[in-house]
Amino acid sequence: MTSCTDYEPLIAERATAAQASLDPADAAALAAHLASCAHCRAELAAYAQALGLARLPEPSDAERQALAWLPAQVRGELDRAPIVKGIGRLLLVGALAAGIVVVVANRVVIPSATRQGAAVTAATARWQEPDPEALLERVVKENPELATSNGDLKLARAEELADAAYLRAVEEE
Amino acid sequence: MTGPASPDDALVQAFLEGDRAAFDALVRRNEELVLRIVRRYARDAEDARDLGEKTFVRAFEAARRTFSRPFAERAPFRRWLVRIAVNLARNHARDAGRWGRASATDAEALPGGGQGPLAGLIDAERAARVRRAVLELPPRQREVLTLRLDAELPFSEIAAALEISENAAKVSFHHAAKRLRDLMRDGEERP
Repeated sequence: MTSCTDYEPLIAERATAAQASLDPADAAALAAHLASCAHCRAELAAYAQALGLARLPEPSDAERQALAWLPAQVRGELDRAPIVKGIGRLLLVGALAAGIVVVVANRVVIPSATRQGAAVTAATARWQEPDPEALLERVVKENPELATSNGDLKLARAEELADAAYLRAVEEE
Repeated sequence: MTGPASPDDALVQAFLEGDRAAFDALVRRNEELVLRIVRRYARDAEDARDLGEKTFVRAFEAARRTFSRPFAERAPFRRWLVRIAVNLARNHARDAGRWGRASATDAEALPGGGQGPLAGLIDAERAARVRRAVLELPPRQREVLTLRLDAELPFSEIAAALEISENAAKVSFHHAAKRLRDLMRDGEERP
C-alpha cells in the first residue's frame, strides 16, 4: 500500500473503534501511515464521527427488562404447534418412502391425501413460517431428477433444496 | 462453520433431546445479540422483544428440521439466528412503514443529553439525520453496517450469515461508511 486512497477501507474499519478486527499487519501499516499523514488522521476523525452518530446507544434498562420472560415466551410458542407439523412431515416422508409418488411424464406427483396433511400443517402454524412440508413438496414437484429410477426419492438433496427455498421465503415475506 | 463443540449447537442438540434448561441457556446466551440486531428497526422495547421472540421461534423451527442431519450438512444455529433476525427486522419495518429509532423524536437514542440545550439539539439533529441515512442505504450495505456497528459481529460471521464473501462484506461496510461520512461533510458545508 502506498497511497492514502489505499488506506481508506482500513481507516473506515479502524473508525469503529474495533481495532482488533484488523489484520495485525494491516493495523501496523495503518498506524505507521497515520503517524505521518495529517490528511488520513482527519479522515479517521471524520469516519469516527459519522459512525459514532450512526451507532445506537447501549440497550436501555427497559429494553433489557422486556426480555425477562423471553425463554418462557419462546418455549410457549414452540409448544403450541409442533405436533401437527411433525405429523405432516411423517405423512409426506412416509408416502414418499412407500413409493406412493407417481412419476407421470417426468413429473413427480404427490398424492392428494399427503397434500391435505401439509395443508393442515400450514393452517395450524402459530406464526407465518414458510411451511417446511409444503416447501419440500414443491421442491420434489419441481425437480423430477430427485426421483430415482425405482421410485425412491433423494431425500437429503430434496431437504437441502427445501432449506434454500425456506430462506428465500423468509427473505421475501 | 462452527465446530461440533460449538456451545450453541451443543445446547440446541440438548434441547432437541428434551433438556429445557438447555433451551433457556441458549436463549439467554443469544438474546443480547438478537436485541442488538432488531432494535434499530423496532418502535420500542416491546416491539424489539416481539421481534426477538419471533426470531428465536423461527430459528428453533429451523433447528428442528436441520439438526437431525449429519453435522456437515447443517448450518450452525447462530448463523440461522442472525440471518432470520436481519430478515424479520427489515420486513417488520418495511411492512409497518416505520423506521423506529431513526425518528428524530426518539430522545432515548440521541446523544448529547449532558450538554447545554442548544448543543444537545444540534447533536440530536445530526444523529437523527445520520441514522435516517443508515436506513436509506442499499440493503446489503445497511445490513453489513448494522451487523458490524450494532451487533459488533466480525466480518467473517457477517459474511457467513448473509452468504457473501468476507471481502464483499468489507467492501459493503466501506461504501456504507463513506456515504455517512460524505453526508456529514455535506451537512457541515451547508450554510
